[in-house]
Amino acid sequence: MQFFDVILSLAALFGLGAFLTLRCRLPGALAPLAGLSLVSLWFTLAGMAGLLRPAGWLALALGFGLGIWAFWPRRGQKLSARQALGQIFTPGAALFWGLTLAFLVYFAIRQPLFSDFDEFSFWGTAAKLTKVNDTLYTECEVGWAWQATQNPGLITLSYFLQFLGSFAPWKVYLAYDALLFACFGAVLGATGWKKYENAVALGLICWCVPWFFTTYCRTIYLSGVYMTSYGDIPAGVVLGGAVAFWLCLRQAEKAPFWTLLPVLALTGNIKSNTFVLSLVAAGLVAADCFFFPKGPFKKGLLRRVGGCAACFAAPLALYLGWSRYIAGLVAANAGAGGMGETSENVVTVAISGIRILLGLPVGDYYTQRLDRLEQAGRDMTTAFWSMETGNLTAIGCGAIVVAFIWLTFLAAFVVAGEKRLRLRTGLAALLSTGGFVAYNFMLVLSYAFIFKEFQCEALEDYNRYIYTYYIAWFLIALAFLSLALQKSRLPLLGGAGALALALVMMLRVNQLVLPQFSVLGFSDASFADQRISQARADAVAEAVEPDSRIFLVSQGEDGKTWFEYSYDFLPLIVDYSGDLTRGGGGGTFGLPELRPEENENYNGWLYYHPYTAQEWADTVRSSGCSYIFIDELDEIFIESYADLFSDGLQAARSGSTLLYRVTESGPFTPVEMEVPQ
Amino acid sequence: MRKIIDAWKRRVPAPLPVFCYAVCLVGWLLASCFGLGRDLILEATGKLEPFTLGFPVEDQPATDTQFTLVDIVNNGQSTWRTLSDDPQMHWQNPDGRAVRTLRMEAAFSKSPREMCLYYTTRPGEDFSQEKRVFAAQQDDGSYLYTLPAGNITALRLDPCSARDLDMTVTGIFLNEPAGVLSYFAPGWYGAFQMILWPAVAASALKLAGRFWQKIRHKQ
Repeated sequence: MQFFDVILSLAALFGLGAFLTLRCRLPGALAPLAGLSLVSLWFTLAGMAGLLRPAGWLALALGFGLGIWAFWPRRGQKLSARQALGQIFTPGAALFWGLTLAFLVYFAIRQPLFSDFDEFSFWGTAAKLTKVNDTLYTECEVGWAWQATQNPGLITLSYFLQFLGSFAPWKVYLAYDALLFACFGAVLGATGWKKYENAVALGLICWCVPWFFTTYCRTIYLSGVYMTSYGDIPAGVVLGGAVAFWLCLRQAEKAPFWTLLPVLALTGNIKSNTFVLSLVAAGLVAADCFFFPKGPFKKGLLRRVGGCAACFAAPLALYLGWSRYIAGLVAANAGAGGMGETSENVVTVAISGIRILLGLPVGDYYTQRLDRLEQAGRDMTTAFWSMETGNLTAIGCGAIVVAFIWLTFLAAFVVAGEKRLRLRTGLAALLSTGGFVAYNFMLVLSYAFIFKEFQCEALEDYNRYIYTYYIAWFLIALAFLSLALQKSRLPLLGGAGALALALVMMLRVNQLVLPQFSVLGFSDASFADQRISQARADAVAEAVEPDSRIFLVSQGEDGKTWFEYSYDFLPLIVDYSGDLTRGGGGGTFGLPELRPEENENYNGWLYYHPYTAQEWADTVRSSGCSYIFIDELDEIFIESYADLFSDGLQAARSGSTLLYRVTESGPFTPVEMEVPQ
Repeated sequence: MRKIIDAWKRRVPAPLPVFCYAVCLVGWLLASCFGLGRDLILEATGKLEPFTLGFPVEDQPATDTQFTLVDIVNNGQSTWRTLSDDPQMHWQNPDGRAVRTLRMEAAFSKSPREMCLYYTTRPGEDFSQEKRVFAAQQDDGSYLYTLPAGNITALRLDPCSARDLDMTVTGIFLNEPAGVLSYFAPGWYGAFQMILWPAVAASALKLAGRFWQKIRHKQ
């Protein structure tokens, strides 16, 4: 159980937060989010420059150094240690540190593992690649034939948290959860200890949010909330957190505006499609900043315009920098025989989408896919209104969620003590509704012009994409409610309403998610399959030379096994195990004539990679692999290729080995090893 | 009384939350002591006794202390083979005896994957996801299931979730004496509740107090 590395990283984060609070006058509740955003930005830039390791040492040194400076007595300073801690530990900051440290202890003991498909196909593997190589995952060697292009905002956070130690999935979960808790702290904002009843209600609402907007039926499997490396929930929470950050920041006297910019940059740096979300955040902040200055409208106009421009410039600069960096890597990957550009660029798609709306001509690529656009639009509309097909959240379809969020804005509007805050709330409600329309527009364009045809037909993962915005939108409304409660004209009603809302949300979440299927009570057996795979990979790693390349055979698998072993084996590389023209990816191999019929066994047909015996042997030898890892055998593989193995695959069939050595010529030979049971 | 409350308010920085957490702590201690006392009485009166459950013996009538097997067959001396991914061992509680824990000593030919114990609390009730507990592996390698206190009418032990697995079961022991400390362990979810609900209660009481003051002020 290694967790001192995490404690040291958190201590550096605390130092940075203390510096921002005590020396830069940032409200204590915002320091964790500002600190994490700065860390993410720092490591993103360092990763792109290939300087991840030195950047890590520098980040830790800076964190500790700034922390010491923050507490160092100043001449003429009247702030006592107690007062300093009082500034740092506001309810928002206490929520962050309490939850983060509790989760640190809990996860270190329980040791949850990755288990979802995309954790192996990207999110978890990318985090492990970055950690074990001290290089951004985009530049690490891995068996994938394509270039990873997802943004690194989250992955760099997990790198920071385990910088001094070894890789563990629970540290990845902890890093992402810490980010969520930092955003919750920002939502609590300037709520003080004297109004702890509001802090408790808001904190409980925030705690429920990731479940409330992602769980639509009673769970019978483990819920991934607070235990996932996917970017969808963090993307929504960070967007909400960014707006909450601003609302609290502008209340404070002489608070540093620049701390908002890394938060906005992080909003756009979580996934490929979150750039549009960062623009929504920037738009909301800019509108609030520009139309509602603290003084007269004309005073400081130029400065406000500059501030608004900076809000857009921060995520845009990072987006453009990342795009240019990825373009270079994609070209290099294509030049080296991998896949080049695999999908349309988001900005190009957006421009073409607007042209379609305006009735202007677009290229052939788009005209050929107009029927997809129509179908995706129709399906998304149905999903928004229908309780049968669109039941995506704990309270039902999108239409109900939108009504719920508007009601939260209305509550903030009603309890706000100042007319000006009511106007600000109204404007945010309108603009965020506009953002929702824009986000849906981008989503329908993505289904039509970026995703694959079958994804468009099934509206695949629609809930994951749309609940990101619902989470963000609700948190924005909640941040306005939090602000209104601080200077409320109806403090009692507002406080009671917030507490009632928290209890209703908690009740609903408890109805849908049993403790044993949640992060708070999961069984160790939930990860039994992953432990088996990891044990097999570890046993193979013991038996082969370091830097060996592994060819994977796993008959009957659907792609997940190959991704899972690609992750488990790291830093050993699992080869793509096949060629692109026949699927590859270590699926089911066999003679062409033994392939199942498409109409009889679709999956068996789809994942079957037909090779003659000679072709298969040539593919293995030309892959550069030293070993063949036999994960699963079946009669088709034995009938097709047993003659290529010196023992006719007897050792693998009897369970005495999982490994065969690849020879230059002649049959592949079994390797003696301890096979885990 | 009024003076005591005022003195409490002056000396404690956050009197209401401290009071609520103190009440929670006392309540938890009392509930734990009650559980311990109840089990001691049940033990003393012979209603909570250790016993073992076994497997059915071929060609012999079933007894009250034997499981009924689903997708599990005998495969030789004390070895049992699973025939599906969901093998089950059912037991009906014939005389309403108290059941608190079940410990299984077993060895498996390969990883057993998920194992759990379902229970029902009413006669005729179906097994459901809501009423099941998971095993905690002990230092000696055995698997311990702890059931909630209350009436148990039937058990369904899922010893593993793997087909064609051979398991050698050396014993299934129920109601083994538990340490006193086990009655005071709230569990992870319990600990979360103990942190959350006093804070919620303090908030609700504070709001109620302000509401009461407002009414009195108007009067």
